[in-house]
Amino acid sequence: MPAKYHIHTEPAAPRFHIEGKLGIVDWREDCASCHNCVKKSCVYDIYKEETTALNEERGYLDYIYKCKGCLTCVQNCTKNVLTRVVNPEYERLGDSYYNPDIILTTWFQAETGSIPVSGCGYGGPFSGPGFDSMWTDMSEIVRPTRDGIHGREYISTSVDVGRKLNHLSFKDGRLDVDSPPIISSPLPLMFGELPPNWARGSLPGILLDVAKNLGLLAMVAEDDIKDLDPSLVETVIPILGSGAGSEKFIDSPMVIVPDSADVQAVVSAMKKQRAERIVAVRVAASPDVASRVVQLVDLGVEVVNLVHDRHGREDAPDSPRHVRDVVRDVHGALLKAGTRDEMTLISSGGIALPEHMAKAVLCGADLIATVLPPLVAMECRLCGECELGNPCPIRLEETEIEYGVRRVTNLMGTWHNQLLELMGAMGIREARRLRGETGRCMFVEDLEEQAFGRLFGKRKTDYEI
Amino acid sequence: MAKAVCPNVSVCMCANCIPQGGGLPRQWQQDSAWVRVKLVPCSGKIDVQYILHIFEDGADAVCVVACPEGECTLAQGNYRARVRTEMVKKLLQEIGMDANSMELLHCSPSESPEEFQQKVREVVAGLVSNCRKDAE
Repeated sequence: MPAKYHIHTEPAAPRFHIEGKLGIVDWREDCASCHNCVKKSCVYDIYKEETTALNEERGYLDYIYKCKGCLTCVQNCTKNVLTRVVNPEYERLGDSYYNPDIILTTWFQAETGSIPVSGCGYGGPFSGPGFDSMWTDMSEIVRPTRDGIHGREYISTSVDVGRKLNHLSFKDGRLDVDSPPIISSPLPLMFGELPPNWARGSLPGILLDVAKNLGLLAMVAEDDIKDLDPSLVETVIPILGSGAGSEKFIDSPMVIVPDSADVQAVVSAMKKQRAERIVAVRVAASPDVASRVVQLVDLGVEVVNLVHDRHGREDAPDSPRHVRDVVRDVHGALLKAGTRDEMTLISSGGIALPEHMAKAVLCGADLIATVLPPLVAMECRLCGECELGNPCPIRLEETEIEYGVRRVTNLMGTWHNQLLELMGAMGIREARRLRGETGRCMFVEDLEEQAFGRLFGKRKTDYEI
Repeated sequence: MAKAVCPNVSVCMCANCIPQGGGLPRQWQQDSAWVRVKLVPCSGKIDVQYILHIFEDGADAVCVVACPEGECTLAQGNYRARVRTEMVKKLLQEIGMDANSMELLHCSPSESPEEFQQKVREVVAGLVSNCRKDAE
């Protein structure tokens, strides 16, 4: 039995004070200087920490918001000088999709390498947009000693990239077919192409180092590959602007080309250059993408990279679908065509949390490509200042390589562990078998239909994505 | 802890005094000075020590934006902010710095976004020109 795939994590304290959610406003001028000041009895020592920071740190200092919101000090102060407030800078973190909660939980995972556990139950809504409108069947969660991170049994999270044979043929007792080239990834995840404003400073190098260390793949735009280190040849997946110039990446295990009218000719020309190299085709998600993917697979394309925008939406003028629905649609169409098992589907965009990775795989993707979470792990606030051409408030591009690698590795470690926990709880032992397993998950529209359909008929409004 | 980039002019802005749909950008360049806005939950969050930390890092000026007196969500925040900014001014004077490099501005959420932005930019321009004068 092979050794368990394990990602070693090591705590990596943040470089900057975290934009916490809650803080205290203090009318300190009215303080009566009681000997039993409530600030001294804060169980989280937030006042002590703030005083230490104010005394020891030099220069510009952001306000520290580390309050846990227990309200003990607010209630017990004899002069009522304390008020709990929500940090408006926290509310400005990220955007509508990468909301402040996601940013904060990603920072926690990157810092500690541990799975975030809230301990006070789930206080959020029953259902939400996108991936929040599907739930996985965790009915096997009763076996913690057998499955999960600490379980005795082996759960494989590895997946294959490439064409698979739909049957084997033998001649004289020997295999009579050549098996097509396959790459194995230890996680159903690869790093996506960095958007131009993030492809700066040490960031691309950090992601490539992490990918190399963990055995993952990383997509890199052709123009961003200058002098490729020979040790990264197996890690880097070049995204070519067209079929031309592919000889440059003759040793790469896989290359990605854009979809075009003559894509079949492009792919076969590249296959002629080196048959062992996988050629993937990048297709923008759109309302009619399912038929195009089926067509591409019929033309012999072995890997399709389905590209959504940063928020996981397809390219459509009205009511764009979320990656959840697009991938299900494509997966369903391929199943109907009988070619699903012959190809690999990589979904890019809209993956902000580890459960999104698992849910995208459940919807039918073989693996996903993620871009922003590793950057958030390096403390990016997604403030968008770099997109406006302004300097980064935290000088993200100057992140030390060793530190960045540690933070992103921690994040990947927690994502791996959360996938293990999820699969253990679902009773699935292989990420390959998680793909398209919609029978083991529930969708809000199905539940609504079952519960209210007979009373109210079909839903009359669209779901928010 | 690593240090965040210190702007030339730091604007500490109460989040409650921003008009609907009319916030300022997080940072901008004005008269060749770099201006950064930091939102605070109430101007009463402004603290003398934090302001002095900003000056310690080399900022030329600090502007505090508060709600008009009597309109604070927490009842006394803008009043506290006034007391504290005056305290900072006094301390700056004591150590031989220009007390005018600290300014308190009152803005109301009922103002139009354009009016609000113009008011802040005008005060920032005043602070910057004051710093330039000092430098000369």
